[in-house]
Amino acid sequence: MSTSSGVWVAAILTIFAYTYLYKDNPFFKFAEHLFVGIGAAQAIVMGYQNIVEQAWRPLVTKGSWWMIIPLALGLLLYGRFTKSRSAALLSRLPIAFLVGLAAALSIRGALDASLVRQVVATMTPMKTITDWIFMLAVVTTISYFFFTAFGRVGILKNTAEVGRWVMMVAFGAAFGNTVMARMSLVIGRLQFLFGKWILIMK
Amino acid sequence: MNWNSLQKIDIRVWYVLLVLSLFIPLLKPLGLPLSISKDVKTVYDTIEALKPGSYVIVSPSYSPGTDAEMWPQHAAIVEHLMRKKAKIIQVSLDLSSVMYAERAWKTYGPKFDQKYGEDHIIMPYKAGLDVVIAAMGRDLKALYAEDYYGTSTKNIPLMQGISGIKDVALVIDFMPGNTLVDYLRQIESVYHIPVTGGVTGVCIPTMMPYVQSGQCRGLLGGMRGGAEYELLINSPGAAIGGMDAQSLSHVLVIVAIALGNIGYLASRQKGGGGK
Repeated sequence: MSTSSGVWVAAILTIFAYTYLYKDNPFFKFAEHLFVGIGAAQAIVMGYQNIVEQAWRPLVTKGSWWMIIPLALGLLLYGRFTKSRSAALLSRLPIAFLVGLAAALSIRGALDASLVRQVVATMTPMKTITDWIFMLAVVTTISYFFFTAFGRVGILKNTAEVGRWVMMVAFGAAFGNTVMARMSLVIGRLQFLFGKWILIMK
Repeated sequence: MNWNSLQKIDIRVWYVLLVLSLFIPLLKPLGLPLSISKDVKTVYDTIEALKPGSYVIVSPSYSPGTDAEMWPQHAAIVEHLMRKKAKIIQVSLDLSSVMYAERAWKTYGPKFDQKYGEDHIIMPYKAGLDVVIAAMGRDLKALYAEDYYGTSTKNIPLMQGISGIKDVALVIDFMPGNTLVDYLRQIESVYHIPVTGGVTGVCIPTMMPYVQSGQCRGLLGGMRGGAEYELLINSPGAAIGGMDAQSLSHVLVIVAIALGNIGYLASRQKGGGGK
């Protein structure tokens, strides 16, 4: 058995968490509440450190007066928690700033990376059977998303049905990957319990 | 036979079977063969093509919740980069990921006689995800004025040899979220710096369009991706150790799905109205 107190704490909490598989119980609740509490505490500490290191310290030690702007915008965010309607309205300023900034930043690279080059990559020469299947899947899936009356009659009705099946295959593959991911997490915990705590595994 | 009973097996029976299917191969590996996928080989070849002294940004963007999948990938790639004598700049986009950057440095730095500050540097966590990535592209040195330990990067030799993102030969991100896509949008697309990485199994479908279009230079997917990479660099670790367990647990899931459906179809044929 491990002699590290940290390993013991982690191992016991892991077992507490897994007891939920039998049924809900106080041990699970304890682990759950501890996790939420520690997570919230860590987020608060890191948030505080971010403000101090990235804005407050440059403001007071380096004379970076423009740091007043992000600090003031940050404070305005809390306006929505007051009873004053005007203060609540002011909280919209930093939110508008954040939304505008995020949109501008995303559009810059997203248009090229997630649209133009994806469309270019879709227009491949039809050389192999895989290319044909790929083209068929793209066209039929797009046809599924014709939502007007025109899109639900004639041949488009049939291609939309094929598109629906193509999407279901994709969702199945995505779910398979999710199962694989969840199994990996359990394996990680078992490797910890038997490899670092009980020490019966290399 | 009461086919309906196949649909009513106590869930706890499946949990016990699942734990056994995972535990037994971990204790006594079955030695099932493991093939190398094209996407993992592409990542390996991309790193193999790096010249000694190339600057590489390694970005562990994960937290303990996905440790089992991400750490083996991260560890194997850092080991490979150190063998190639690359100069590694580790940056963190998640609250908890700095500890993984430090763990990678402490695990492999001494093994390959690496000097902190000359061959390797760890940058502090910066909040903002794609905003931080965009800032990396604009001015890497201004973004990271100090390293994780509080030393001014002006006094760190590794950072004196680099003027900005254009001197970086490769960016490698390990993501359980969306950061790899952000790197493609903000770095690969704008500055044409090659980007690759590793993701959790859940994120593989998100990334495949970018891999197939060639924007992302290969991909390590989940624990399996880590295991393949460990095999490629001939350094067996936790991921290879978990592969037999993963395969056996998948067989159990398939059996459960098959039994449930057999029970459903048979009870419906008998007019039992299976649910």
